[in-house]
Amino acid sequence: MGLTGIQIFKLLPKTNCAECGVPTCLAFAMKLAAGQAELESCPYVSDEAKAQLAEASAPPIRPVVIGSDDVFKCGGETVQFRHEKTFVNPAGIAVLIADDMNDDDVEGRLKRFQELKYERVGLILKPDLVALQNTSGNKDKFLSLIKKVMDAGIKKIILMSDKAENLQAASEIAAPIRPLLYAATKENVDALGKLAKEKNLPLAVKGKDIDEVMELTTKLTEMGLKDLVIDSGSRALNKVFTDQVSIRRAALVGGVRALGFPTIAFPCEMSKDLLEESLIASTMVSKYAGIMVLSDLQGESLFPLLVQRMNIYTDPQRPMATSQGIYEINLPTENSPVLITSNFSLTYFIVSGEVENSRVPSWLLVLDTEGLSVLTSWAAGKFSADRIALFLKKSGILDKVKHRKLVIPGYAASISGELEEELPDWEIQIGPREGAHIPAYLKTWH
Amino acid sequence: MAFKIPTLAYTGSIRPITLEKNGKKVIVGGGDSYPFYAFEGEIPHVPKIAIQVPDFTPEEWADACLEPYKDVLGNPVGWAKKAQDVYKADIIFLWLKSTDPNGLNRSADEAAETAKQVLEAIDIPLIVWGSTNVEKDAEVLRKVAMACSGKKVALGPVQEGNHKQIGAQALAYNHMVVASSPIDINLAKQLNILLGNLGVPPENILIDPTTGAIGYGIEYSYSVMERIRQAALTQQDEKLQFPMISNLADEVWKTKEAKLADNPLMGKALNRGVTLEAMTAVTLLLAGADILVMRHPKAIESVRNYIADMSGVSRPALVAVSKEVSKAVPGAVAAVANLPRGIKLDIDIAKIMNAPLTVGSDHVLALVKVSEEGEGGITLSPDAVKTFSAFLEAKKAEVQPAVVSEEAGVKEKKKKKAKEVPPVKILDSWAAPDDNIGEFNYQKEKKQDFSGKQVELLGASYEAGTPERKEDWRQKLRDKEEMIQYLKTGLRYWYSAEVYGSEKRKTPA
Repeated sequence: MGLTGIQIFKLLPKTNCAECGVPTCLAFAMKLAAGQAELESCPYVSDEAKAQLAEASAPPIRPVVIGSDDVFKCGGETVQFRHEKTFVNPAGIAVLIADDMNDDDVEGRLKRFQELKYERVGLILKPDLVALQNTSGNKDKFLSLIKKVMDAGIKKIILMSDKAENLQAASEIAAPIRPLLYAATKENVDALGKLAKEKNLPLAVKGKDIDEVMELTTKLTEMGLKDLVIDSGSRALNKVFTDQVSIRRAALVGGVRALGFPTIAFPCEMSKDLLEESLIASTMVSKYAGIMVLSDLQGESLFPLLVQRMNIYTDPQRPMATSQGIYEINLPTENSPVLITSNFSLTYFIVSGEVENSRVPSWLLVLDTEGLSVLTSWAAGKFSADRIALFLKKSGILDKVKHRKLVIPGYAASISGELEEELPDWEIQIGPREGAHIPAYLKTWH
Repeated sequence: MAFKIPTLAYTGSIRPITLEKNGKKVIVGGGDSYPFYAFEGEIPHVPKIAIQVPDFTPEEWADACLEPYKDVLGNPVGWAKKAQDVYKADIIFLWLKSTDPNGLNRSADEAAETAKQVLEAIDIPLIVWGSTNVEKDAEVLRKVAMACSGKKVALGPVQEGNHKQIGAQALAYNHMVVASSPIDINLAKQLNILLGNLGVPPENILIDPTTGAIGYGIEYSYSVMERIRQAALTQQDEKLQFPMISNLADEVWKTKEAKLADNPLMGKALNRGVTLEAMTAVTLLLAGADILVMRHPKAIESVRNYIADMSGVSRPALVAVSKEVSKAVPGAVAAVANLPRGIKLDIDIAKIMNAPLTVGSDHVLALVKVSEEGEGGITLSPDAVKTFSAFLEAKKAEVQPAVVSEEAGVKEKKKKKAKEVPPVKILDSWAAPDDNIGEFNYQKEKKQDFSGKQVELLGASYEAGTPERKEDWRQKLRDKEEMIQYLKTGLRYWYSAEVYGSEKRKTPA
């Protein structure tokens, strides 16, 4: 751990062959140091250098991939607090389907898994994985469930069974889509380790506590396995929370390699109440789970969870932006007011929400301010009279309304003079400063 | 080898702040580790829930939120009583939104009268919240401070633009203030410094870092709160060592997703709104919230249970449920044994009451609570008393002291800690010099030099000293000029493309 790019560079062949995909050895060394590349990409590195570098170049938490063409990725995190850098791979949301459920329960879950999708700030939010549990212990039941799910076109799955032979049989069918096997325990670690290695599949380990988990991961690592996922075994909320924090901190701060893997949590086994389960899941989003398995998916709890996850996993250094354009709210007509605001997503959500609340049909123009809020973009010269005038003329709003009145945010009041010069036939009206005052303003607008 | 969590160097703690009403104390803060990190610190006071009481008739609210309060709409006093008695608020949060000049624009006198009436009606602490209009709040909260004189209430939001007026009133009438800043750690710190300059004592300050709901900027609140906690706990920034309040109720319920009707994609409106409120609360708890301002009883109940689960104490019982149960047993007879709070009962209540009724766990406890408060309740037949007492004795014996109650539980934990012999620490970077040898036992450290060559360096030859008292140069700042000079040059937090964190500023601002 902790070698600098220059130190790594000294151990590389310095041929600048570019076969690793990076133009020079120095650049490749820098990428290794930043944990963005793998040493295996270099075809000419000496074994001696490999041994020295292997330890240094591996990321502190291993990124693990489930699925083959359409993949889900977890792990690869480098910080404990999102403001330090960013959380990179959003915690996976999986729905549990057991092989002793009746057909309606199975179909319902599959249907909801495939249909519950939400678009927000240009992203599609949806659940990621299906966890198939061999609750019955019966091999045939398990296999027929797997076939059914694969036939439904689902490609990212977790296979859960207590019996190594059933997982063996299951992976015969499912290996091409690279499922996660759950789970290697003290009892079956040899058999499952062998299976996962042979089929090159990611494998979850389940210990009764963190000590046992470390024994298992150490053993499996020695067997040559890399893609592991950790279940610390506990199911009481405060214990699971403690385990998640401990594992993340041990891997990042303590440099404990045996814990440098993403984790899996089971809110479905921690509560029977859907609301409680959702709160546990949201805790796992904030505090470090790589995957969480839910008992069911319902819009009323899945939507909040997906949005919360998106919020926690956004890059804190990059403001979220909405696309530039005309937004029609409450079915506007040619006499409806025209408002303009910035494209910082929070500004957009608040303004559009308030306009909607007012029930006044309106046209909302969103100007590309590179994701800055009204006040900031005004200060940075991005919410300026010339840019607004240009956008207004190109946007096509001229054909949509008969009047020529534009409402600008109260915070940008000082540009009204310049705007009147840029747009001589328009009346520039100054709207409220705060979103909350928009409904009152619109109700008296004329 | 047993796994040990790598330790974290905490150097500060959050001030415990006491809100009080008629001798009833509600303490928040006091923690010395990150939220719910009980494995390396204490949770002396779990986060508390304040229920929001509007001073107007909320016509625009979602139906889900009107239903529980339909008998007290437009009646802040009744609303506050209901929040206290039925929904078991820890604190009442009176929201004087009707004073907003952009809205109903009610007068400061009218608002002060409402605040006074609510204050007189309740037995738990009160937070009085303005309309967030800087000028109007200064006027309204001044009148409120006067009307509530003699009883300590918390006044907010105190913003930079009105901190002098409201701060002075709070000082004059011995009230608390909630310092409100717009999602920015520097501004939060600055406002606390300004309030300190004004003479507001630190035990009367709470922080409101401004709250965003899920989908509406919660990530900003989350990170700013985490940063404030970090500065307070690991950087000894004592201007940030205050409990935080998250005013989330209205932020959640004003969003369109919370108000949207039932719909196949978004599920049932009631459950969606409740989930959004509870999940926003839980997310903010993890970032460090000490007081949550909430609205829907179902969300409140689930968050209260969540806090109990996370803190390792048993879940509180719901008295509201028990009232229905007691009604369902007409002619039942009075007298119940004392039952310590927190015991979990899972018995067939019919056996005890000789009545045809079955309820689940927790409900018996609730019944007991009802009759303690003399609100009707139930009576047991002599046979039933015997069965019940025997059952209680058995239960009491089983119950672990740590789950008896929050306060007692903490004490018990402390006792246990005291008994343990502290483990002897051996420093691996320093070894004691051998007394018998005249020569010093130097420690050598292996390091790499700039060319990557291994070199040996002499280690420290002295024991790292520990100062007896923490030297805090900030205490030497005497007046405003010096404070402003400090703000310009001192420890500040800054953001850049690479780092989003804190550094000492290299050049003056």
